[in-house]
Amino acid sequence: MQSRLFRKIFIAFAVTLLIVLTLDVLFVALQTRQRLVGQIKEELWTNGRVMLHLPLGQIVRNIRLLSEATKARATVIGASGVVLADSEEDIRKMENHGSRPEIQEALVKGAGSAIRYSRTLDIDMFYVAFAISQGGEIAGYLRLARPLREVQTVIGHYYQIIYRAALIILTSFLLLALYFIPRFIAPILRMKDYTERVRGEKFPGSLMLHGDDEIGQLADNINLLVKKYEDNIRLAREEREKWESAFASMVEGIAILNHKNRIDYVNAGMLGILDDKFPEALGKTPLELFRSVELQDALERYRQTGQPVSQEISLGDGEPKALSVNIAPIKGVSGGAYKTIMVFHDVTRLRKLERVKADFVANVTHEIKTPLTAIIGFVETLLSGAAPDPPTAHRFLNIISEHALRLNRLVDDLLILSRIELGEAQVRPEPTPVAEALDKAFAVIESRAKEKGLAIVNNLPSGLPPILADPDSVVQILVNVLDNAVKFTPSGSITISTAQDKEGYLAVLIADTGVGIPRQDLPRLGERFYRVDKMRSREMGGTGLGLSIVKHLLKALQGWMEVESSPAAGTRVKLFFPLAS
Amino acid sequence: MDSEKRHTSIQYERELQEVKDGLIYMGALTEKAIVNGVKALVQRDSELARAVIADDDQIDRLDMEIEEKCIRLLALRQPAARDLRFITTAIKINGHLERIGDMAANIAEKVLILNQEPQLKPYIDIPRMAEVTQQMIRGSLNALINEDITLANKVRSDDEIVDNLNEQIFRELLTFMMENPHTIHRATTIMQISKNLERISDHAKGIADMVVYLVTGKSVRHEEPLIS
Repeated sequence: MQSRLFRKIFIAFAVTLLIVLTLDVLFVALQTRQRLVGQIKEELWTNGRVMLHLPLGQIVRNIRLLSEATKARATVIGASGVVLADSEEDIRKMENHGSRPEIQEALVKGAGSAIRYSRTLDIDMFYVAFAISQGGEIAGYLRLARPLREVQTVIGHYYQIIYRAALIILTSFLLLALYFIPRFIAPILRMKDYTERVRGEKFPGSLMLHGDDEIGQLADNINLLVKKYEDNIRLAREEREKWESAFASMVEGIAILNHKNRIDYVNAGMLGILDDKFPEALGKTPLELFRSVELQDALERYRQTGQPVSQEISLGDGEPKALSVNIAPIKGVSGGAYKTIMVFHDVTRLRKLERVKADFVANVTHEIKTPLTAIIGFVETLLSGAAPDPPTAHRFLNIISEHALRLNRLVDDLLILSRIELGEAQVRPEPTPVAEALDKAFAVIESRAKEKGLAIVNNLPSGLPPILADPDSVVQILVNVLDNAVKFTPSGSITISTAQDKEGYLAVLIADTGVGIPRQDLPRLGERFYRVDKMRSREMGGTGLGLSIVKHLLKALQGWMEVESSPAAGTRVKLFFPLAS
Repeated sequence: MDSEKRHTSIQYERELQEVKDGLIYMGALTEKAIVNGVKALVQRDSELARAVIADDDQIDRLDMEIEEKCIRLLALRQPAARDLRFITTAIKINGHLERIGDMAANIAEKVLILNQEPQLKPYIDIPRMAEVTQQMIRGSLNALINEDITLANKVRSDDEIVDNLNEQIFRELLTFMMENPHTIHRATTIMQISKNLERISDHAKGIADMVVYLVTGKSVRHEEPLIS
């Protein structure tokens, strides 16, 4: 039985039994010895008394006979202590016995006894002595003695019996113990096994143990406690699942820090924010994971004030994201160690839109202010009475008119653009022949092209299939592109043809021999107010919105624009329109 | 991941963590300085450049704080073996980071000079150098946290990329200068910026060398990195 409990109980009982048995044995032995010695004393006493009836002389003469009869050694001692007769030893070799304790006692009390180790016989002897009085005086003593050898033999015999008995008792106890103790401690061991399995979180149902005693009650208590424990765990898990699923469905990123400032939990929303660092997030400190100075400073502020903190940070190399972080404490249920929750809102788009709007407003005001300043300036000059000669005044008025017209065009373009973006420009596509639209566009730019001496070459093949578009939009698109071509081609020609078609689309190609567009400016052509060379564009009366309008109109028609260009090699603009079938 | 050190006192462990955190924070500050410095260059933003120069104070303060913490640890805790290596390498890494901060502020100063003249040419290689050095700093500190030798060695070999870019810029600017003496001032200033970035990358490599020493006990400072 390997059970430590069993061994303890067993050893305790075995040792107790051993001690008890040993004491019993000793006790019995002692008692027996006492009784046997008592018996000897009785006999010697009785025999002695009988012998005392004989006269002293007779005793001395018949000492051997008397010794045989009483089965005791007999000694007669004179009043002085001299040995007068002895049944066994030669009296000449015996010393004075007067000082022997039994004699001394007999002297005082009339009789005495003692147990003594006899040197002469090499054994314990029991002595009984009687004072012989004659005529009121002690004439001598009679002493009888028996060896205690027989006592020892008897006791030895007894010891043997007792030992054998003890052995039998011990063995039977041990066997019974081996049988009974395990049965008693079995419930305890079962409870131990059961609770161990609970500890290892392998919930093994309930403990099947019943009993009407305290052990049974203990088992019931254990069952109750384990059930409570299981319930608590289940509740905690349900709670956690509840908020975990809430967090999992959120767009915002959530990160929770434990009281050691390490990340305990991240939701799925953090994936977009962390990218490839997401798998290593758990267990790291925010500094280790995000490497953001602003975030670290915000956390510092939060820690010092204990108050929720909001901070906007920029994360990510390459394309930085703008994130608005809210840092707040989570109070522990037990009121214990605080956790911290960080909520990340991705405001990149928001900020970008804000920037675009701010840029636009800045640009518009600038574009409006410039001509206005000129107008005001010249008007003031004229009004101030410095009315110069009519030719100069006329020139001033021309300039004013030019700027005013430019302002007008700008406002018109802005209106168009905003209507397109708001979707108010009801673009109702219908099958539209391209050639017609092109003719209308030509009409608008013809004169200006002629002024510059530019040749306009129309290489559109006849019999082109109609495109699905709003006719006015197509004209506007063509006008804007041709207008740019004219503006930026100092000399040469502008050619309109078709380019390689894409399946389902018609590509109109407008190529010029103008100054071209540098490579890095190509991606930005559609931006509002974007100009490659600010100075020249304004001189030519441009609003900066032309291509932006083209881009938006094309988008509304489900088409698009591609531009190829290089400085001094001219520009080729491809416009893709969806076909009407 | 990171080896759990059982120290006789939680306080001691916290002090070591503070040094580590300080280095990471400083690394983040230097990364920010490099990013902003080059942003100020590309966007010709003098205000941003001035901010970078002013922020170097914070890096300098942190440098002294961390050094003091390390020396106190040496004096009071008398560390042995692993901890001793950690603290001594922390002091060296600290030094590297402080120099990186200075180089970044230096770049910002050059930006202020450049902004007084028109831009010479589009900046393509310099932002690329900045990107690589920033990754090197990030990588070397990550290697420190995770005790990742592979990452440390990668950082060490990336130094070559920056060196090559520096050479390239030098050659390109040389041709500018030979064609047109009016560009010399701007070209040499840009070269100084490039040189600063190259030195930053050397310091980042130095940090990676320290990490290798910390983990393996072997000093690789003067060895060529294995091409990974």
